[in-house]
Amino acid sequence: MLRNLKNYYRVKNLSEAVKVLKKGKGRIIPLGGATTISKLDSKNIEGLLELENLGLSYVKDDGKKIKIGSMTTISELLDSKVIEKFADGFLKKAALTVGSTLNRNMITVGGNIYQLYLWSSLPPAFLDLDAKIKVIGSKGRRTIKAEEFFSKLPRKILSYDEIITEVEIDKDKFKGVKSEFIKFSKTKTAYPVISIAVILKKLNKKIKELRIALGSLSPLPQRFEDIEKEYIGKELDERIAEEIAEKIVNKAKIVPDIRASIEYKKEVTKNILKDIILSI
Amino acid sequence: MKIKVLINKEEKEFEVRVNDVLLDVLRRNGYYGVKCGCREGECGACTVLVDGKPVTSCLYPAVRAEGKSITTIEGIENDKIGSVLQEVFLEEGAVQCGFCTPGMILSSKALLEKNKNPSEEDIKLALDGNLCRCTGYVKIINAVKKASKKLRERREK
Ligand SMILES: Cc1cc2nc3c(=O)[nH]c(=O)nc-3n(C[C@H](O)[C@H](O)[C@H](O)COP(=O)(O)OP(=O)(O)OC[C@H]3O[C@@H](n4cnc5c(N)ncnc54)[C@H](O)[C@@H]3O)c2cc1C
Ligand code: FES
Ligand code: FES
Repeated sequence: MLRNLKNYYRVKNLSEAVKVLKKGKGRIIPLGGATTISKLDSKNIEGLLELENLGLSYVKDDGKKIKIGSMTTISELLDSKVIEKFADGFLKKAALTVGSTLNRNMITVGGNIYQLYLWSSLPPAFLDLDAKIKVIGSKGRRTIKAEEFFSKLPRKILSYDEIITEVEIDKDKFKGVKSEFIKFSKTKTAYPVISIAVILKKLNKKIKELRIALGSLSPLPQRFEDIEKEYIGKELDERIAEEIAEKIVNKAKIVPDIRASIEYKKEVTKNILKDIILSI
Repeated sequence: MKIKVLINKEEKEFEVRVNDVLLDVLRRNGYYGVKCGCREGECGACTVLVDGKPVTSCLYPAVRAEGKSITTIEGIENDKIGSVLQEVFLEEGAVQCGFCTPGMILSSKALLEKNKNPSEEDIKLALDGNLCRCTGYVKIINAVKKASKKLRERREK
């Protein structure tokens, strides 16, 4: 419970919103889908800034780029035809792994990437997609590459008066790709133990494009660009798929948790990753 | 502070604190059909519809409900889809202790509003956040299938 919560701010536009956050000096926070905020136990938060009426719920395709407003819910991503068609439905596959329908109706894209939990599903997907995170704050607007945004906890990247407004993805890079996003968990709606995001493009059996990101295994999502690059142009067969999977798990940072040991997670990740690479 | 809502098609004003979740405000005001199971967003017993969408009221900030339309199980009786769901849940034996039933019926209503002929997969997805410790789900899924059939037959008549 937020014991010292006193105020709820509804403002007309983003510049007023930023002023409210600036005045709050970290004691007023943006309200996304509320699925984390409502469970927080803190004495420090005194105000909530409502983001739902600021025009940040949308999925747009301008031909070159896909733009996702930060207040778009996970269910709205799932309902979007743009998302369904893009990159072999990659973001739809990722969105389907988030909690339950009831959770997905509330959780927002902005909240899912700001509140970077170990299990957050969208961050590994956005890493594979080279997404750009757009924010606005008292010093103006800026764009942060996913790679940088997820290199630390986002609260260390953003200032307290900054709001995530949009996630932008270049479409061109992902024409004709195949993709998969697998969550390994105890039940279908449980938090993932392992998340695996793969984008692959083949031409005459040879790898033309390969992107691999892992989530849930360590506090920050991980992408493996150096290993991906090694295999561009190579013919894909079972041996190569096994080799890629082996290299990835040997390089990945894996932390133990109560549900599974490091060794178990390594073995399962390797096998699922190999299967994905061979089957898509 | 006060919030105005349209609840079960009736305009009402509720006194709320900024850190109240909708679940507590509704129960304080006599909507006991909204159950509290986990307060974690995990069980779905607290499901209500906000502007037609099923959400966990245990995580939904009450202040955010200002100006919105809320449906609880108490508002289902005179609803076309809701009343059919109530009938078929009884006919199919989809209710045992009944704790999950308000949430199950509200999530099913939201599904049938959107999808007139859902597949078994669609039903399972729509109800994946509503846990039932008694029935084993089979009868619940059958009840939703039967409701969608009944509603389609009624529309065709
Ligand atoms: C039962 C349950 C199961 C779940 N399962 C999963 C799962 O499997 N996978 C998964 O990925 N997630 C899952 N989640 C969701 C996840 O744990 C977080 O609760 C969620 O991602 C937070 O998003 P939100 O929109 O609700 O954010 P909020 O709770 O509103 O906010 C979280 C934080 O982000 C900040 N914030 C929100 N929006 C913005 C913005 N636009 N700009 C700047 N800061 C912002 C807030 O100030 C706050 O600090 C689950 C949640 C629940 C309750
Ligand atoms: S009480 Fe809200 S989901 Fe369990
Ligand atoms: S009938 Fe008892 S929990 Fe579902």
